[in-house]
Amino acid sequence: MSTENIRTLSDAEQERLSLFLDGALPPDEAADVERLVSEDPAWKAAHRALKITGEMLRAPVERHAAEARFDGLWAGIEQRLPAPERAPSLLDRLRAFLSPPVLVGLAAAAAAAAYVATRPSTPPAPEAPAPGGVAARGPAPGTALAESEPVIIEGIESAGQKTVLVSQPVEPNGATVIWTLDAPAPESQPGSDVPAASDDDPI
Amino acid sequence: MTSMDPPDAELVEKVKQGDRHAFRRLVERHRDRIHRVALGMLRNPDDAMDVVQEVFIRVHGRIQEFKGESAFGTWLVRVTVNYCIDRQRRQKTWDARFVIDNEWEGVSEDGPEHKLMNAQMGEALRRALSELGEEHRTAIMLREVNGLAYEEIAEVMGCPKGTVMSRLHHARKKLQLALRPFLEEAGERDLAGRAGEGVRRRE
Repeated sequence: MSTENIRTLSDAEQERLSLFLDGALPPDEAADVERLVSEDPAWKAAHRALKITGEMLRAPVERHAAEARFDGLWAGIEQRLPAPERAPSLLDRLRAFLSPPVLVGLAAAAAAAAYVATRPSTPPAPEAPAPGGVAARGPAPGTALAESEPVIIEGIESAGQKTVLVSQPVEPNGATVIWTLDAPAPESQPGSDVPAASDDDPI
Repeated sequence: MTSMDPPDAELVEKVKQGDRHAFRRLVERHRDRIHRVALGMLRNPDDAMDVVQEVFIRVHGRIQEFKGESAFGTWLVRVTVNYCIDRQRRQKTWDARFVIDNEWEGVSEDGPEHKLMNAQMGEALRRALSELGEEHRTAIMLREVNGLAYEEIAEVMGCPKGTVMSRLHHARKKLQLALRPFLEEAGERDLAGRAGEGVRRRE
């Protein structure tokens, strides 16, 4: 077949041939192109060139694809995937719950509970301020507190006046009432049962 | 996919919830197709196998972004194509390791002259492909090598169907022009009776 006189297809013809190869032409147009390819040397040469081009592009891909082995593929992928998220354990949930503010609160509560449980035995608190004696600044220890044991936890003396901080647990629920008393000079309160607090009293 | 195999969409939902087994099934289902796309785009077997792994790792990392608006397989091809284009851009040139297959017999009969011509054709095709813009090369590979329909190529490349048709036409015209001298030479020798047969391959 001599190609000397074979013309090159026009751009429109090339486009039509391209659509024909992709099966994108309506049946009647496809039949027309089919006839041109079998009868017209220009169409025949262009058609053949495109068929060969497609085959050249496909052939090595098909061979390499057929030879491909994916044995280690999943292992390689899985190795690089992020660690799977596991359900949080009881310990994880506890850790999340015990944030610093909660821990501080719990520690304070534990310390208070330990103090109450291990507090030393002390003399009973006065049931009412004696006339001329100690005057209660907070709610006076009434009868409801009669069976509790108040504990002096702080004593401050300033300008001859002594202020005493008293902790008095209310049993049986364990709540604690803290109140303060102004204590007059020792000589003026002989009848007081409240022990005088001094700077070195243990708290 | 057998009747026992869950559809992609179902597996994807499981993967979104952290199911690795479901992801493995997706990998095994789609790896061949992704490998073929990468082979067609890069024409380098080693790179293509790397791409398969990288694409699946990327897809796993972005699985939450997949909304199911396109088929999962199409989305995978799109990720693959984009990854291959990124890779080619980093390499600056289209570094094809192969264009034609060594086992491909080409357009002429056996013999040293014909093998030389086939090698020259391969080089001409490689050059023509490298001179195509990446969009035209991608379109022709997806169509000729992977057999994607116009609509699928449009979805993968994010462009209208008409643009795909135009790119294919342009690419084919360039490739045909590159191969035509060799085809004409071969045609002058012995192809008169075989025009339109396409390419012979050794079995």
